Amino acid sequence: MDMSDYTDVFKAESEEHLQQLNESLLGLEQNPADMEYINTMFRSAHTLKGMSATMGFSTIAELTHEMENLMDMVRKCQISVNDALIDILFECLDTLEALVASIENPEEVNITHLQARLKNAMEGTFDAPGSPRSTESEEPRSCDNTTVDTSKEQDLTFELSEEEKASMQYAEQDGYRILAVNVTLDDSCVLKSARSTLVIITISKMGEIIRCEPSENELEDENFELDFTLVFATKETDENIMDKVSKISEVKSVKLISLSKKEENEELLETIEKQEETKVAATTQNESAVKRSDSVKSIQSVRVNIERLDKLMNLVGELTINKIRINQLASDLNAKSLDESLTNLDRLTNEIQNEVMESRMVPINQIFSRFPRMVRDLAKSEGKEINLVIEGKEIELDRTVLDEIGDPLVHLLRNAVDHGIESLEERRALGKPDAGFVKLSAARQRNSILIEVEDDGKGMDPDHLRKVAIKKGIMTQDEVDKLSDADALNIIFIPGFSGAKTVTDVSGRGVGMDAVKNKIEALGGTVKISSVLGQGSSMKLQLPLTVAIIQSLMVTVSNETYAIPLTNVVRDVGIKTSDIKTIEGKEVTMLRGEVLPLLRLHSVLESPHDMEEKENLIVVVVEKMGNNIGFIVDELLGQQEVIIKTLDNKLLKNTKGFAGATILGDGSVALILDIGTLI
Amino acid sequence: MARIMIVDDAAFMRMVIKDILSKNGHEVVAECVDGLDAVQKYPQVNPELVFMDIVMPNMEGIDALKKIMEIDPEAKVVMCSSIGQQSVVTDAIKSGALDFIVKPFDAAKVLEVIGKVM
Repeated sequence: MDMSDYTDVFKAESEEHLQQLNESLLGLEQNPADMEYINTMFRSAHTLKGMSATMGFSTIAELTHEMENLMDMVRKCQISVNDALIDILFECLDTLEALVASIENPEEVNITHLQARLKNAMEGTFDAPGSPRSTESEEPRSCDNTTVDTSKEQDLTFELSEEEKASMQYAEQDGYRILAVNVTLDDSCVLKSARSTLVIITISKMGEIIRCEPSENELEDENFELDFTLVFATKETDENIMDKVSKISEVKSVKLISLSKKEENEELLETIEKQEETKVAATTQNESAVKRSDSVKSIQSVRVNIERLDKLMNLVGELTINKIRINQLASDLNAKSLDESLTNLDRLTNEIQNEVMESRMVPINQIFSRFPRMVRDLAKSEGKEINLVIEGKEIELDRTVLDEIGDPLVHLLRNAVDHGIESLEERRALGKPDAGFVKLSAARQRNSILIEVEDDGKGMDPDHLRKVAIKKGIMTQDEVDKLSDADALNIIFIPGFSGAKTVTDVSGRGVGMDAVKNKIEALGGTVKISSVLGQGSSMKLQLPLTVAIIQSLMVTVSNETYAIPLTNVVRDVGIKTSDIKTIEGKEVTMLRGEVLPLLRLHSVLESPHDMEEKENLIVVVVEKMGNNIGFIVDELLGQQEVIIKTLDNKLLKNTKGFAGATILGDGSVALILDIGTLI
Repeated sequence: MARIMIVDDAAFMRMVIKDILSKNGHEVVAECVDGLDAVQKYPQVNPELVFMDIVMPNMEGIDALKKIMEIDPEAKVVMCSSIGQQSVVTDAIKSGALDFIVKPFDAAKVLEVIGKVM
């Protein structure tokens, strides 16, 4: 059977189970007495075992099997939950994750060390990772597992008790025959006890069992090799019995012995060596016409490749563009008769667009769920206690956005734990609770998602940031002096700045806050920072629900239309030419008592501009890195939803300043400005 | 060929079993995600044979088996077990399961069992 077709499903479902295991293990660590966690973990490990064995991934199957055994012992209160146990299980999960991740290109992963530690855990001795197992065992092992059942020959080598002989006699008087059936199971039989029970049930349907050798209890405990004997009273024919028993799967041979006349006169009636199953072929000969009967379909969801959804989204975009064109044509032609169908078309395209957008939405929990584990490990390695609160994990957002925000969030959380939360000693000295508070929350705000990472740590010191900025040569004394305390916090977003006094293992990976900011802005989002010294910091990310469609402010410059993403736009204002002042050779204006630097969009875009200087100018105020900048544009066309077409072909790939292009209702192309890279 | 109901919480396992069955001319009349689902669907679809996983959330296979045997004492149920579950499988057989298969299983094994119990 070729299993490669199932790889995707296997992988996706395994990942879900691993996630579930991770969550439950974290829960168990918090509440070691809560058995529901262990039960859930047991089920997940068990399901994984079955799945991986079916796929032929023996390493995963072995490891999950041993984890399952360990959890079973915890379930049965044979061993108790402690830190060492939790750590081992976490390590197992990490190993499993690695194994699942690499199933397409399996690497040799040695799990013997982990298995040894699991085994020790089951025996109640815990080792630190890496340390060799202690050779001294505190107390002698009470049970010796080496006792092997030596009773191999059971051709009625056992004695029948007086009681059993008596029942045989009664049965014979009532017209029953007494038979002994000796059954040998296949070497490959895995669940011998269950198989033997099946034989016992089969026999007991045909008669009365008088004796079972080894005893039923021993059979159930698998305390036997491959064969066992049943003595029973029956009225069935030998052929019938042979037929029924030999039909049971995994039965290798059946011997039927008549005990009816005299015990010493054992007569071998029949021996059947079962042939290797040849019936399979017969059962597979199917009649091709399978009747469709009253089947009940239970599939409520299907997995769809993300590429398909992307394509669908793209098509919807094209559809919308065409709709807008038809609308425009109809109004140009003054074709009133089209009004009704156009309204319907409008409604339908909107609905399709919404449905397609919704189908791309996934709960943010898909990435949030990884964080408790990460924060736990991080806190543990730094000797801190962290109380992580997660809110709004049911909030949904576009798959593409979700894929992109994982890394930035990891960075923000690491920062919070690493730099934000003080050491235990410091917290105690400050009278703060031992456990640092870190909150990760998501909320939907109309067409955007707000994600916030908050901590109650030491906060950021604007003066310290100013000093570092000067020391690193990022800013001059003059420049930092101009910054308000709130603005000074934005220094951390400047490339080349790292807030940490010392580079630690976790945060000092060369990815600064500037990378976070760039990533979020590339998605059409914004990052806002606030902090109170001594009380904590908060990072607010505002993200669009989807990256495929954005709300834009449409403007014209030199008769060309441009779209400015609304997330960047602060406001638009009208000013007079006389309002423009010049400071240090740069044009500025005063807006609400603040100096607003002005840029003429046509010169930024280097487009020819032969229009006369008007007296009244339109300024679109945009925000970049916490600073406001005013763009002077020719005309405001208003707000519009635009569908982004990326500029990812070879020719335009490296164009700076544009987030993409969109097609307007009249069929013309408008470029979408990317404020982050434009100026 | 038989009308069969599959009960397994893992979509992966359902898919593997379903493919084996449908490629060999059997009809999968229902797929259930746990024991509770199975007990509800059994009277609706009235399958000729049930493949029942053991460890599942909400209701375990052994309990679902017992409930189904109450609904229909003639029900034909085959347990799908992993290694390490002797006692549950034994219990299941005592409760009326006709046979069991042990993961990992292949198509031949599944078809053999169907041949034997039908």
